[in-house]
Amino acid sequence: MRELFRGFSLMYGPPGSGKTSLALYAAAQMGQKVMYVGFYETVDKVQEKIKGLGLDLSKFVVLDYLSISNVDVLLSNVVDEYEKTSPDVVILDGINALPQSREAAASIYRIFQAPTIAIGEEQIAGSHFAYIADTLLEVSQVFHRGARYRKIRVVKTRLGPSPGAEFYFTISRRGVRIVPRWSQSRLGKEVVASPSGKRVVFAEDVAESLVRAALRRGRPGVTAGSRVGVFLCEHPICLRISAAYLCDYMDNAKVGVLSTYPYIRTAAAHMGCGVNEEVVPASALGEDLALEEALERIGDAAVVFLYGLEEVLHMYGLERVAYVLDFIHSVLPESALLATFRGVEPVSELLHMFNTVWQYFPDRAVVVKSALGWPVRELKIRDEEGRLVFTLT
Amino acid sequence: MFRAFYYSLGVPLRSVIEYKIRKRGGSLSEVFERPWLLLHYIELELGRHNAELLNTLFVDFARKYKIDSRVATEALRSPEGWRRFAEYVGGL
Repeated sequence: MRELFRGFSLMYGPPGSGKTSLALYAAAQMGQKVMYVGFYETVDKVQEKIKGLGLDLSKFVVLDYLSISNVDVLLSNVVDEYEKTSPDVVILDGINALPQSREAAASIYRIFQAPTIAIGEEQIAGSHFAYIADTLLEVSQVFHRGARYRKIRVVKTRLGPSPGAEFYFTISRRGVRIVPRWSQSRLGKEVVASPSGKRVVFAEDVAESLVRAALRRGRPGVTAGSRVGVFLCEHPICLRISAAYLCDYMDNAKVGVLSTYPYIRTAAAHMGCGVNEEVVPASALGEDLALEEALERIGDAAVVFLYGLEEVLHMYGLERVAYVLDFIHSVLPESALLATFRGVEPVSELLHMFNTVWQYFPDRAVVVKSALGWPVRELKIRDEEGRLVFTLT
Repeated sequence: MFRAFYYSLGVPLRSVIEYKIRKRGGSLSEVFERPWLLLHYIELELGRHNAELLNTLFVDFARKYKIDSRVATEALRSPEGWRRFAEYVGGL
Protein backbone atom coordinates (compact mmCIF):
# COMPACT_ATOMS: atom_id res chain seq x y z
CA MET A 1 0.00 0.00 0.00
CA ARG A 2 2.97 2.31 0.60
CA GLU A 3 3.68 2.27 -3.10
CA LEU A 4 0.35 3.94 -3.76
CA PHE A 5 1.01 6.85 -1.41
CA ARG A 6 4.30 8.48 -2.15
CA GLY A 7 5.11 12.17 -1.82
CA PHE A 8 1.94 14.26 -2.02
CA SER A 9 -1.01 12.02 -2.87
CA LEU A 10 -4.45 13.32 -3.66
CA MET A 11 -7.32 10.89 -3.33
CA TYR A 12 -10.83 11.75 -4.39
CA GLY A 13 -14.17 10.04 -4.72
CA PRO A 14 -17.78 10.08 -3.58
CA PRO A 15 -18.84 9.99 0.09
CA GLY A 16 -18.73 6.53 1.65
CA SER A 17 -16.26 5.09 -0.85
CA GLY A 18 -13.67 4.45 1.89
CA LYS A 19 -11.19 7.29 1.30
CA THR A 20 -10.66 8.19 4.96
CA SER A 21 -10.27 4.57 6.08
CA LEU A 22 -7.83 3.93 3.27
CA ALA A 23 -5.79 7.01 4.19
CA LEU A 24 -5.76 6.20 7.91
CA TYR A 25 -4.65 2.65 7.30
CA ALA A 26 -1.98 3.56 4.75
CA ALA A 27 -0.64 6.35 6.97
CA ALA A 28 -0.34 4.01 9.96
CA GLN A 29 1.84 1.74 7.84
CA MET A 30 3.98 4.61 6.63
CA GLY A 31 5.09 6.15 9.93
CA GLN A 32 4.98 6.19 13.71
CA LYS A 33 3.39 9.62 14.05
CA VAL A 34 0.43 10.54 11.89
CA MET A 35 -1.15 13.98 11.89
CA TYR A 36 -4.76 13.81 10.76
CA VAL A 37 -6.27 17.15 9.86
CA GLY A 38 -9.99 17.03 9.13
CA PHE A 39 -12.42 19.73 8.12
CA TYR A 40 -15.66 17.77 8.22
CA GLU A 41 -15.44 14.81 10.56
CA THR A 42 -15.25 15.28 14.34
CA VAL A 43 -12.39 13.94 16.41
CA ASP A 44 -14.65 11.33 18.06
CA LYS A 45 -15.75 9.92 14.72
CA VAL A 46 -12.22 9.75 13.39
CA GLN A 47 -10.91 8.08 16.53
CA GLU A 48 -13.73 5.57 16.32
CA LYS A 49 -12.74 4.85 12.73
CA ILE A 50 -9.09 4.39 13.71
CA LYS A 51 -10.05 1.92 16.42
CA GLY A 52 -12.52 0.22 14.09
CA LEU A 53 -9.68 -0.49 11.68
CA GLY A 54 -7.69 -2.13 14.47
CA LEU A 55 -5.05 0.63 14.44
CA ASP A 56 -3.06 2.01 17.36
CA LEU A 57 -4.75 5.27 18.35
CA SER A 58 -1.60 6.56 20.08
CA LYS A 59 0.06 6.92 16.67
CA PHE A 60 -2.43 9.59 15.63
CA VAL A 61 -2.73 13.29 16.38
CA VAL A 62 -6.30 14.08 15.31
CA LEU A 63 -7.18 17.70 14.61
CA ASP A 64 -10.76 18.40 13.53
CA TYR A 65 -11.01 22.01 12.43
CA LEU A 66 -14.08 24.16 12.68
CA SER A 67 -15.41 25.33 9.38
CA ILE A 68 -14.58 29.00 8.86
CA SER A 69 -15.00 31.30 5.92
CA ASN A 70 -11.51 32.78 6.17
CA VAL A 71 -9.72 29.88 4.52
CA ASP A 72 -6.36 31.68 4.50
CA VAL A 73 -6.39 31.78 8.30
CA LEU A 74 -7.33 28.12 8.33
CA LEU A 75 -4.39 27.22 6.10
CA SER A 76 -2.03 29.26 8.25
CA ASN A 77 -3.15 27.43 11.39
CA VAL A 78 -2.80 24.03 9.76
CA VAL A 79 0.76 24.88 8.78
CA ASP A 80 1.49 26.02 12.37
CA GLU A 81 0.20 22.71 13.71
CA TYR A 82 2.28 20.79 11.18
CA GLU A 83 5.41 22.54 12.40
CA LYS A 84 4.57 21.88 16.05
CA THR A 85 3.68 18.23 15.52
CA SER A 86 6.49 17.22 13.11
CA PRO A 87 4.64 14.13 11.91
CA ASP A 88 5.96 11.28 9.75
CA VAL A 89 2.79 11.32 7.66
CA VAL A 90 0.01 13.87 7.18
CA ILE A 91 -3.60 13.32 6.21
CA LEU A 92 -5.58 16.33 5.01
CA ASP A 93 -9.18 15.16 4.97
CA GLY A 94 -11.52 17.52 3.14
CA ILE A 95 -8.94 19.54 1.26
CA ASN A 96 -11.77 21.35 -0.54
CA ALA A 97 -12.05 23.43 2.67
CA LEU A 98 -8.61 24.97 2.03
CA PRO A 99 -7.99 27.82 -0.43
CA GLN A 100 -8.27 26.46 -3.96
CA SER A 101 -5.54 28.67 -5.38
CA ARG A 102 -2.30 27.70 -7.08
CA GLU A 103 -0.42 29.52 -4.31
CA ALA A 104 -2.11 27.48 -1.59
CA ALA A 105 -1.48 24.21 -3.39
CA ALA A 106 2.16 25.09 -4.05
CA SER A 107 2.65 26.20 -0.41
CA ILE A 108 1.34 22.97 1.02
CA TYR A 109 3.41 20.96 -1.43
CA ARG A 110 6.58 22.78 -0.43
CA ILE A 111 5.94 23.06 3.32
CA PHE A 112 4.73 19.53 4.01
CA GLN A 113 7.90 17.52 3.66
CA ALA A 114 6.37 14.42 5.22
CA PRO A 115 4.40 12.12 2.91
CA THR A 116 0.95 13.67 2.66
CA ILE A 117 -2.35 12.08 1.79
CA ALA A 118 -4.93 14.68 0.82
CA ILE A 119 -8.57 13.70 0.50
CA GLY A 120 -11.09 15.66 -1.47
CA GLU A 121 -14.47 15.62 -3.09
CA GLU A 122 -14.72 14.60 -6.73
CA GLN A 123 -14.43 18.14 -8.13
CA ILE A 124 -10.92 18.44 -6.62
CA ALA A 125 -9.74 16.30 -9.55
CA GLY A 126 -9.65 19.45 -11.67
CA SER A 127 -7.95 21.70 -9.07
CA HIS A 128 -4.43 23.02 -8.57
CA PHE A 129 -3.96 20.34 -5.92
CA ALA A 130 -4.46 17.67 -8.57
CA TYR A 131 -1.92 19.42 -10.77
CA ILE A 132 0.83 19.51 -8.14
CA ALA A 133 0.11 16.06 -6.64
CA ASP A 134 2.72 13.33 -7.14
CA THR A 135 -0.02 10.73 -7.14
CA LEU A 136 -3.67 11.12 -8.05
CA LEU A 137 -6.00 8.34 -6.97
CA GLU A 138 -9.67 7.94 -7.76
CA VAL A 139 -11.60 5.90 -5.22
CA SER A 140 -15.00 4.52 -6.05
CA GLN A 141 -17.61 2.21 -4.72
CA VAL A 142 -19.67 0.28 -7.22
CA PHE A 143 -22.70 -1.90 -6.58
CA HIS A 144 -23.32 -4.48 -9.26
CA ARG A 145 -26.08 -7.10 -9.00
CA GLY A 146 -26.17 -6.56 -5.24
CA ALA A 147 -22.43 -6.94 -4.65
CA ARG A 148 -20.19 -4.15 -3.41
CA TYR A 149 -16.84 -3.39 -5.01
CA ARG A 150 -14.43 -0.77 -3.74
CA LYS A 151 -11.84 0.30 -6.26
CA ILE A 152 -8.76 2.51 -6.44
CA ARG A 153 -7.63 3.76 -9.82
CA VAL A 154 -4.24 5.36 -10.29
CA VAL A 155 -4.99 8.42 -12.43
CA LYS A 156 -1.55 9.99 -12.29
CA THR A 157 1.74 9.08 -10.72
CA ARG A 158 5.27 10.35 -10.62
CA LEU A 159 6.57 7.80 -8.17
CA GLY A 160 4.34 4.72 -7.87
CA PRO A 161 2.47 2.17 -10.00
CA SER A 162 1.58 2.91 -13.62
CA PRO A 163 -1.30 5.25 -14.37
CA GLY A 164 -4.46 3.35 -15.17
CA ALA A 165 -3.70 0.57 -12.71
CA GLU A 166 -6.84 -0.42 -10.85
CA PHE A 167 -7.15 -2.34 -7.60
CA TYR A 168 -10.00 -3.64 -5.52
CA PHE A 169 -9.70 -3.00 -1.82
CA THR A 170 -11.63 -4.04 1.23
CA ILE A 171 -12.28 -2.42 4.60
CA SER A 172 -13.03 -4.31 7.78
CA ARG A 173 -12.20 -4.22 11.46
CA ARG A 174 -9.03 -6.07 10.51
CA GLY A 175 -7.96 -3.09 8.44
CA VAL A 176 -7.77 -2.23 4.78
CA ARG A 177 -6.43 -4.68 2.27
CA ILE A 178 -5.68 -4.39 -1.40
CA VAL A 179 -7.15 -7.31 -3.34
CA PRO A 180 -4.73 -7.89 -6.23
CA ARG A 181 -5.98 -9.48 -9.40
CA TRP A 182 -4.64 -12.98 -9.84
CA SER A 183 -2.63 -13.99 -12.83
CA GLN A 184 -0.76 -17.14 -13.74
CA SER A 185 2.45 -15.20 -13.28
CA ARG A 186 1.87 -15.50 -9.53
CA LEU A 187 2.08 -19.28 -9.59
CA GLY A 188 4.64 -20.67 -7.21
CA LYS A 189 6.87 -23.63 -8.05
CA GLU A 190 6.56 -25.34 -4.71
CA VAL A 191 3.97 -28.10 -4.46
CA VAL A 192 1.90 -27.25 -1.38
CA ALA A 193 -0.23 -30.40 -1.35
CA SER A 194 -0.61 -33.74 -3.10
CA PRO A 195 -3.47 -36.19 -2.76
CA SER A 196 -2.78 -39.51 -1.04
CA GLY A 197 -4.17 -41.59 -3.91
CA LYS A 198 -6.21 -43.74 -1.53
CA ARG A 199 -9.54 -43.00 -3.18
CA VAL A 200 -8.60 -41.57 -6.58
CA VAL A 201 -5.61 -42.74 -8.56
CA PHE A 202 -4.12 -42.47 -12.06
CA ALA A 203 -3.61 -45.76 -13.85
CA GLU A 204 -0.11 -46.66 -15.07
CA ASP A 205 -0.87 -45.57 -18.64
CA VAL A 206 -1.77 -42.06 -17.49
CA ALA A 207 1.33 -41.78 -15.30
CA GLU A 208 3.52 -42.92 -18.19
CA SER A 209 1.90 -40.43 -20.49
CA LEU A 210 2.76 -37.66 -18.05
CA VAL A 211 6.37 -38.81 -17.77
CA ARG A 212 6.64 -38.92 -21.56
CA ALA A 213 5.47 -35.33 -21.68
CA ALA A 214 8.49 -34.51 -19.47
CA LEU A 215 6.35 -33.27 -16.62
CA ARG A 216 8.15 -33.36 -13.35
CA ARG A 217 5.33 -35.13 -11.61
CA GLY A 218 3.50 -38.27 -12.55
CA ARG A 219 0.69 -37.63 -10.12
CA PRO A 220 -1.40 -34.61 -9.38
CA GLY A 221 -0.61 -31.96 -6.84
CA VAL A 222 -1.12 -28.25 -6.49
CA THR A 223 1.46 -25.48 -6.31
CA ALA A 224 1.50 -22.33 -4.16
CA GLY A 225 -0.93 -19.68 -5.41
CA SER A 226 -2.43 -21.98 -8.05
CA ARG A 227 -6.07 -22.31 -8.97
CA VAL A 228 -7.91 -25.31 -10.25
CA GLY A 229 -11.41 -25.00 -11.63
CA VAL A 230 -13.54 -28.11 -11.31
CA PHE A 231 -16.80 -28.35 -13.24
CA LEU A 232 -18.98 -31.16 -11.94
CA CYS A 233 -21.91 -32.79 -13.66
CA GLU A 234 -25.19 -33.00 -11.75
CA HIS A 235 -24.92 -36.79 -11.41
CA PRO A 236 -24.13 -37.97 -7.84
CA ILE A 237 -21.05 -39.81 -9.14
CA CYS A 238 -19.43 -36.45 -9.94
CA LEU A 239 -19.95 -35.33 -6.36
CA ARG A 240 -18.38 -38.58 -5.23
CA ILE A 241 -15.30 -37.94 -7.39
CA SER A 242 -14.97 -34.49 -5.91
CA ALA A 243 -15.38 -35.80 -2.35
CA ALA A 244 -12.81 -38.51 -3.02
CA TYR A 245 -10.27 -35.93 -4.17
CA LEU A 246 -11.02 -33.76 -1.15
CA CYS A 247 -10.45 -36.66 1.22
CA ASP A 248 -7.22 -37.65 -0.52
CA TYR A 249 -5.88 -34.12 -0.12
CA MET A 250 -6.99 -34.07 3.52
CA ASP A 251 -4.87 -37.16 4.14
CA ASN A 252 -1.71 -35.22 3.33
CA ALA A 253 -2.29 -31.51 3.95
CA LYS A 254 -4.22 -28.93 5.91
CA VAL A 255 -7.32 -28.28 3.84
CA GLY A 256 -9.98 -25.59 4.25
CA VAL A 257 -13.48 -26.17 2.91
CA LEU A 258 -15.79 -23.30 2.08
CA SER A 259 -19.28 -23.83 0.67
CA THR A 260 -22.24 -21.68 -0.14
CA TYR A 261 -24.57 -24.37 1.25
CA PRO A 262 -24.03 -27.64 3.18
CA TYR A 263 -22.65 -29.62 0.33
CA ILE A 264 -19.72 -31.90 0.62
CA ARG A 265 -19.63 -33.11 4.21
CA THR A 266 -22.03 -36.00 3.69
CA ALA A 267 -20.37 -37.11 0.45
CA ALA A 268 -16.95 -36.91 2.12
CA ALA A 269 -18.20 -38.95 5.07
CA HIS A 270 -19.17 -41.69 2.61
CA MET A 271 -15.60 -41.59 1.31
CA GLY A 272 -14.28 -42.02 4.83
CA CYS A 273 -13.19 -38.57 5.92
CA GLY A 274 -14.63 -35.94 8.26
CA VAL A 275 -14.86 -32.43 6.82
CA ASN A 276 -15.22 -29.22 8.77
CA GLU A 277 -17.20 -27.27 6.19
CA GLU A 278 -17.45 -23.49 6.52
CA VAL A 279 -20.78 -22.46 5.04
CA VAL A 280 -21.18 -18.89 3.80
CA PRO A 281 -24.49 -18.43 1.97
CA ALA A 282 -24.16 -16.90 -1.48
CA SER A 283 -26.46 -14.08 -0.33
CA ALA A 284 -23.73 -13.02 2.16
CA LEU A 285 -21.02 -12.96 -0.48
CA GLY A 286 -22.11 -9.59 -1.86
CA GLU A 287 -20.07 -8.12 1.02
CA ASP A 288 -16.63 -9.13 2.28
CA LEU A 289 -17.27 -9.59 5.98
CA ALA A 290 -18.71 -13.13 6.03
CA LEU A 291 -16.03 -14.38 3.66
CA GLU A 292 -13.28 -12.78 5.71
CA GLU A 293 -14.60 -14.30 8.94
CA ALA A 294 -14.85 -17.74 7.34
CA LEU A 295 -11.27 -17.48 6.10
CA GLU A 296 -10.15 -16.52 9.57
CA ARG A 297 -11.72 -19.70 10.91
CA ILE A 298 -10.07 -21.74 8.16
CA GLY A 299 -6.63 -20.38 9.02
CA ASP A 300 -3.50 -21.06 7.02
CA ALA A 301 -4.68 -23.99 4.89
CA ALA A 302 -2.41 -25.29 2.15
CA VAL A 303 -5.44 -25.88 -0.06
CA VAL A 304 -8.90 -24.33 0.05
CA PHE A 305 -11.73 -26.25 -1.58
CA LEU A 306 -14.64 -24.05 -2.64
CA TYR A 307 -18.07 -25.49 -3.32
CA GLY A 308 -21.26 -23.96 -4.66
CA LEU A 309 -19.63 -21.28 -6.82
CA GLU A 310 -22.41 -21.82 -9.35
CA GLU A 311 -24.66 -19.94 -6.91
CA VAL A 312 -22.26 -17.00 -6.81
CA LEU A 313 -22.11 -17.05 -10.59
CA HIS A 314 -25.87 -17.02 -10.97
CA MET A 315 -26.49 -14.46 -8.25
CA TYR A 316 -23.74 -11.92 -8.93
CA GLY A 317 -22.11 -12.82 -12.24
CA LEU A 318 -18.56 -13.57 -13.36
CA GLU A 319 -16.98 -10.49 -11.77
CA ARG A 320 -17.96 -11.66 -8.29
CA VAL A 321 -16.60 -15.15 -8.83
CA ALA A 322 -13.25 -13.63 -9.82
CA TYR A 323 -13.45 -11.25 -6.86
CA VAL A 324 -14.13 -14.05 -4.36
CA LEU A 325 -11.15 -15.99 -5.68
CA ASP A 326 -8.94 -12.87 -5.62
CA PHE A 327 -10.14 -12.04 -2.12
CA ILE A 328 -9.22 -15.50 -0.82
CA HIS A 329 -5.82 -15.27 -2.46
CA SER A 330 -5.26 -11.83 -0.93
CA VAL A 331 -5.77 -13.42 2.51
CA LEU A 332 -3.99 -16.71 1.74
CA PRO A 333 -1.56 -15.93 -1.10
CA GLU A 334 0.38 -19.19 -0.77
CA SER A 335 -2.65 -21.46 -0.72
CA ALA A 336 -3.93 -23.35 -3.72
CA LEU A 337 -7.62 -22.98 -4.53
CA LEU A 338 -9.83 -25.74 -5.92
CA ALA A 339 -13.01 -24.06 -7.01
CA THR A 340 -15.96 -26.27 -7.78
CA PHE A 341 -18.95 -25.43 -9.98
CA ARG A 342 -21.85 -27.80 -10.37
CA GLY A 343 -24.01 -27.89 -13.46
CA VAL A 344 -22.07 -25.11 -15.16
CA GLU A 345 -20.18 -25.25 -18.46
CA PRO A 346 -16.52 -24.14 -18.39
CA VAL A 347 -16.97 -21.13 -20.67
CA SER A 348 -13.94 -19.13 -21.78
CA GLU A 349 -14.69 -16.23 -19.39
CA LEU A 350 -14.30 -18.66 -16.51
CA LEU A 351 -11.23 -20.42 -17.84
CA HIS A 352 -8.91 -17.44 -17.42
CA MET A 353 -9.52 -17.50 -13.66
CA PHE A 354 -7.66 -20.82 -13.38
CA ASN A 355 -4.41 -22.37 -14.43
CA THR A 356 -5.96 -25.83 -14.61
CA VAL A 357 -9.54 -26.75 -15.39
CA TRP A 358 -11.16 -30.17 -15.10
CA GLN A 359 -14.62 -31.20 -16.13
CA TYR A 360 -16.11 -34.34 -14.63
CA PHE A 361 -18.75 -36.53 -16.19
CA PRO A 362 -20.11 -39.74 -14.63
CA ASP A 363 -17.69 -41.90 -16.65
CA ARG A 364 -14.87 -39.60 -17.71
CA ALA A 365 -12.80 -36.57 -16.79
CA VAL A 366 -11.69 -33.93 -19.27
CA VAL A 367 -8.66 -31.68 -18.90
CA VAL A 368 -10.14 -28.50 -20.35
CA LYS A 369 -7.09 -26.38 -19.63
CA SER A 370 -3.67 -27.03 -18.16
CA ALA A 371 -0.97 -24.45 -17.64
CA LEU A 372 1.37 -27.35 -16.82
CA GLY A 373 0.88 -28.80 -20.27
CA TRP A 374 -0.97 -32.03 -19.53
CA PRO A 375 -0.95 -34.06 -22.73
CA VAL A 376 -4.08 -35.99 -21.91
CA ARG A 377 -7.36 -34.36 -22.73
CA GLU A 378 -9.80 -37.08 -21.73
CA LEU A 379 -9.58 -39.86 -19.16
CA LYS A 380 -11.98 -42.65 -18.41
CA ILE A 381 -13.08 -43.22 -14.84
CA ARG A 382 -13.40 -46.77 -13.51
CA ASP A 383 -14.57 -47.85 -10.12
CA GLU A 384 -12.28 -50.58 -8.81
CA GLU A 385 -13.53 -51.84 -5.45
CA GLY A 386 -14.51 -48.40 -4.26
CA ARG A 387 -11.39 -46.74 -5.64
CA LEU A 388 -11.74 -44.42 -8.61
CA VAL A 389 -9.15 -45.06 -11.29
CA PHE A 390 -8.45 -42.58 -14.08
CA THR A 391 -7.23 -44.38 -17.18
CA LEU A 392 -6.60 -43.84 -20.87
CA THR A 393 -8.44 -46.98 -21.95
CA MET B 1 -14.43 45.40 19.71
CA PHE B 2 -14.74 41.88 21.02
CA ARG B 3 -18.47 41.95 20.28
CA ALA B 4 -17.77 43.24 16.78
CA PHE B 5 -15.27 40.43 16.28
CA TYR B 6 -17.69 37.82 17.58
CA TYR B 7 -20.51 38.96 15.31
CA SER B 8 -18.14 39.02 12.33
CA LEU B 9 -17.97 35.21 12.59
CA GLY B 10 -20.46 33.38 10.44
CA VAL B 11 -23.76 32.22 11.91
CA PRO B 12 -22.91 28.48 11.63
CA LEU B 13 -19.64 28.99 13.49
CA ARG B 14 -21.31 31.11 16.19
CA SER B 15 -23.95 28.43 16.62
CA VAL B 16 -21.28 25.83 17.33
CA ILE B 17 -19.45 28.14 19.72
CA GLU B 18 -22.59 29.09 21.66
CA TYR B 19 -23.68 25.48 21.88
CA LYS B 20 -20.30 24.46 23.26
CA ILE B 21 -20.28 27.34 25.78
CA ARG B 22 -23.73 26.36 27.04
CA LYS B 23 -22.65 22.74 27.24
CA ARG B 24 -19.93 23.84 29.67
CA GLY B 25 -22.44 25.77 31.79
CA GLY B 26 -21.39 29.18 30.48
CA SER B 27 -23.25 31.89 28.59
CA LEU B 28 -22.51 34.33 25.80
CA SER B 29 -23.04 37.35 28.12
CA GLU B 30 -20.41 35.90 30.45
CA VAL B 31 -18.00 35.63 27.53
CA PHE B 32 -18.73 39.23 26.48
CA GLU B 33 -17.87 40.34 30.02
CA ARG B 34 -14.74 38.19 30.19
CA PRO B 35 -13.57 37.61 26.58
CA TRP B 36 -10.65 35.36 27.56
CA LEU B 37 -13.26 32.71 28.45
CA LEU B 38 -13.93 32.22 24.74
CA LEU B 39 -10.65 30.39 24.11
CA HIS B 40 -11.01 28.58 27.42
CA TYR B 41 -14.35 27.10 26.43
CA ILE B 42 -13.25 26.37 22.88
CA GLU B 43 -10.13 24.57 24.06
CA LEU B 44 -12.12 22.47 26.51
CA GLU B 45 -14.75 21.49 23.99
CA LEU B 46 -13.07 21.60 20.58
CA GLY B 47 -9.36 21.25 21.28
CA ARG B 48 -6.39 23.53 21.45
CA HIS B 49 -6.06 23.72 17.68
CA ASN B 50 -9.53 25.26 17.33
CA ALA B 51 -8.82 27.70 20.16
CA GLU B 52 -5.70 28.71 18.22
CA LEU B 53 -7.76 29.05 15.07
CA LEU B 54 -10.23 31.42 16.79
CA ASN B 55 -7.32 33.39 18.22
CA THR B 56 -5.80 33.79 14.78
CA LEU B 57 -9.15 35.04 13.49
CA PHE B 58 -9.21 37.59 16.33
CA VAL B 59 -5.66 38.76 15.57
CA ASP B 60 -6.62 39.09 11.92
CA PHE B 61 -9.68 41.13 12.89
CA ALA B 62 -7.70 43.37 15.25
CA ARG B 63 -5.10 44.02 12.56
CA LYS B 64 -7.76 45.91 10.59
CA TYR B 65 -7.86 48.38 13.50
CA LYS B 66 -4.07 48.68 13.34
CA ILE B 67 -3.64 46.88 16.64
CA ASP B 68 -0.26 45.34 17.31
CA SER B 69 -0.45 41.60 16.57
CA ARG B 70 1.64 40.71 19.62
CA VAL B 71 -0.86 42.46 21.92
CA ALA B 72 -3.85 40.97 20.11
CA THR B 73 -2.35 37.46 20.18
CA GLU B 74 -2.29 37.48 24.00
CA ALA B 75 -5.62 39.30 24.48
CA LEU B 76 -7.87 36.24 24.61
CA ARG B 77 -5.43 33.98 26.38
CA SER B 78 -5.78 35.36 29.94
CA PRO B 79 -7.32 38.20 32.03
CA GLU B 80 -3.87 39.81 32.09
CA GLY B 81 -3.64 39.66 28.29
CA TRP B 82 -7.07 41.22 27.97
CA ARG B 83 -6.15 44.02 30.42
CA ARG B 84 -3.06 44.85 28.35
CA PHE B 85 -5.10 44.77 25.18
CA ALA B 86 -7.72 47.13 26.69
CA GLU B 87 -4.99 49.53 27.82
CA TYR B 88 -3.39 49.42 24.36
CA VAL B 89 -6.70 50.13 22.63
CA GLY B 90 -7.45 52.92 25.12
CA GLY B 91 -4.13 54.53 24.32
CA LEU B 92 -4.79 54.63 20.59
